[in-house]
Amino acid sequence: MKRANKLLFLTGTLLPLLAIACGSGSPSLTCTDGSIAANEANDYAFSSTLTLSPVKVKSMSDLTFDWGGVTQDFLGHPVDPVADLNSIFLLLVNLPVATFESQLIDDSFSQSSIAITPPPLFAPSGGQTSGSLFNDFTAGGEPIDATLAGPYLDAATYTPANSTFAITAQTGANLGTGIRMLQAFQLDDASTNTTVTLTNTSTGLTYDANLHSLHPTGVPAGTAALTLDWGQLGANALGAQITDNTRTNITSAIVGHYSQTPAELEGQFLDLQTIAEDLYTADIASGFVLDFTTLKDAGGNSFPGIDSTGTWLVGLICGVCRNPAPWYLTILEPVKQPCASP
Amino acid sequence: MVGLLAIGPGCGKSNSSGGSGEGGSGATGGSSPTGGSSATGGATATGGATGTGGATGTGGGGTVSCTITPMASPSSMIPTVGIVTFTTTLPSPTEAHIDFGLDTGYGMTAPVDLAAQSYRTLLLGMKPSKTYHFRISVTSSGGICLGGDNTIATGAQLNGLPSLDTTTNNKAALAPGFVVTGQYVTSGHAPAFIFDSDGSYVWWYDDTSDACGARMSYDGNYIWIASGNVPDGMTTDHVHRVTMDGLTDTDFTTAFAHHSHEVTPLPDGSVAFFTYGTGTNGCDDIKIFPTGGTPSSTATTLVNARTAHGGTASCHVNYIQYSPSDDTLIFSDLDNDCLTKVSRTTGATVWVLSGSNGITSTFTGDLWKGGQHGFQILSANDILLFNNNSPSSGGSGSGATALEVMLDTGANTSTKVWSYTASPAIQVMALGDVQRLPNGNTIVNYGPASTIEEVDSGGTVVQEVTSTRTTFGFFEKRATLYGPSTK
Repeated sequence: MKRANKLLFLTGTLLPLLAIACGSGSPSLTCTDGSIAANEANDYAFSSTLTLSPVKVKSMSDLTFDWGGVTQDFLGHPVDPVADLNSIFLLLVNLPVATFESQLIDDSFSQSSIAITPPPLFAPSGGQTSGSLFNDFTAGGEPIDATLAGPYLDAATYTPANSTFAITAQTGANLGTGIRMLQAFQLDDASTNTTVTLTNTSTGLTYDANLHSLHPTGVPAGTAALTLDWGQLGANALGAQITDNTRTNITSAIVGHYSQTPAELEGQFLDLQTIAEDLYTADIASGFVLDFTTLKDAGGNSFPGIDSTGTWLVGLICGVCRNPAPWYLTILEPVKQPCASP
Repeated sequence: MVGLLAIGPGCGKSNSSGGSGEGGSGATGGSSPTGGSSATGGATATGGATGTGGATGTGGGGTVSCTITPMASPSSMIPTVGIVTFTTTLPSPTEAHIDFGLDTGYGMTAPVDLAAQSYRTLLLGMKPSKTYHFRISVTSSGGICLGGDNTIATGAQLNGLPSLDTTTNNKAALAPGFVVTGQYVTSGHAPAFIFDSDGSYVWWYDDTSDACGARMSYDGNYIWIASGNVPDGMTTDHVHRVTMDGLTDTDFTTAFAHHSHEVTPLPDGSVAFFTYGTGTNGCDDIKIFPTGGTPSSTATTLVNARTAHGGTASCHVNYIQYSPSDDTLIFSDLDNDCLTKVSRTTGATVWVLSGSNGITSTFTGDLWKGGQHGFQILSANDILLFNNNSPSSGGSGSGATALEVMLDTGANTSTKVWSYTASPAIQVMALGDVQRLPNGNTIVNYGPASTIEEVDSGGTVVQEVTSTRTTFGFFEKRATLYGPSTK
């Protein structure tokens, strides 16, 4: 996470200079009557990098995986390795590590790149924080032994040029959802190492969340009669084009109220759901319009509308994406109605 | 459709033209000859409005006057399903159907159950957020009464369905129809769904679990959705039977305790399935609920898998199919690389095809290793199967293969008559399914590789459907969503 903070620090230093160079201040606010049209100009921007540092292990051998030292996930959140890490998956990915990293980030990774499906799994139930491939893992409910696993532990077949092995420690049983830490490894005939140890730094994440370049949206205060329409949004905050085929990937929305400034929220971006003073969510079963009257907080209270305190954000979440960054996020500010004529 | 277009719409009235027309309403995408109302309805009407393959078969003396008053709305659960009711002044109707489509050429046909209250009929196979035209046709002994053209607007697609990327290399060679399938994930939100030849979703249902198996009942009124439940005891264990309008969801999870992979509806309404490791020998049991609708809590154990095939090792049954021609069931055991045919009534073994771990195959000749999943019984002795070809169980690892073998039950030989391996090869250890289509194409489902290929008899890929975000469960491609299964 230090790397992430450093990147954000640099971003925060440079951007005021850029703004001055452009001869303008903050992006202008767009006044609306409460009907918000999502577009690239009022969307935030998000970029990130993921670094997996493979270790070498002995080929054609039983491997031990140890996640007992993981006390913090790759997002920087605390982890109890016994209570939280309850599904340990072994992935054999038919991609070199750099490609695997980039596909996870740009959300193009396909499970068709996973060579062994369903992936070997160990679901510790007795407080274990380590496990042996041959003794503890199963594949499709079947025990794994040298005969079954042997063809996949051949360094001549699964080389770093074409493959990446990864052990993932996650919360929950749904593969790919709730991954807390991931350690990559590669087979090496010359290695004598048969233990893969997950640590707090097994996965490195850097990111840049830009909330300062977007055009905030003005809406009437104190009313939930707001809508957000993403039917014409051409690209998401990660830079990926949105097509008719992917527009339905948005399955939920959040509205958060924060005491922090947008600049401060950039630095705490991974914690947006935990640091909000008020947080409202809504599932979006179909269509491309969020009706803010459907938003509820954890206690079931309806969204009351925004006020002039703090920062108000509304975000759209892709429910089927591996990268959890919202596809869309903008700042809402109260404005007097009706909007002035341009 | 041309023939129908020649008859102009008459709002609430019949039409006087009794001309014949080629390519009646059931010719493409509608009621297929083996499917819906056209199956026994007399496809070649004398003086009727439809011609070959038509759905209005009772003949008679051309058209008659009547009033047809329809009401239509999309299902509140699945807004691509239209629910049509109607009244008619035509006395004693003997047949009725609804033609529907994106324009007044229609193209699809829904058979009408004359016993249904208000002739309630579902329009199945419609794309989301479109306006569809439909026209009701009612036949009596006096002739055919055609209603006017009406429209119905479908609702938006469920958000969160996996994006499908469809590449069609030869549309003319593609078998038209719909793919009924689901998604296998270890837990979570993974609806069953149906998509059409364009890759558009036309149906979906989320029973809050995964949908490793999604199979329509033989009467076409329900879809059975079963979670994978591998290994047994998953918190996601579900078996639900859902009406095609999505409005009635019956949870049969308890009745199907210990089930895995999928359940198999049979023509008489009974349901075959298999339970994970429940035999006294630790192997899976083949079970069946008796004929007659709602499964009770007491399924009959037909036979234990190991007892049936004579293996000595663990077992892992993953698929079961019914063979109507000889009233048998065939089940696939992944761990033992074999298919086993048993009598549906006694459980007695008829034959074992291929095998490992001490199993003696009834047949010699072209067998396989590396496991298998879905298969299709093309005829009693003609089997098409998805061979995983996994290196971990003796396969070559050179790609999963669709393999068709012809059995000679006199000489006890198995002969490969057709096979297909993708290029580049697609290797999957789990799942996988295959089906021969009416036009001779074969559709191959590489489950976890999130790829479905339709190939012609020469192995040329006609269409490929992929998704980066799901594992396809077992599947069936149907020319129509009405009538019995063709797999």
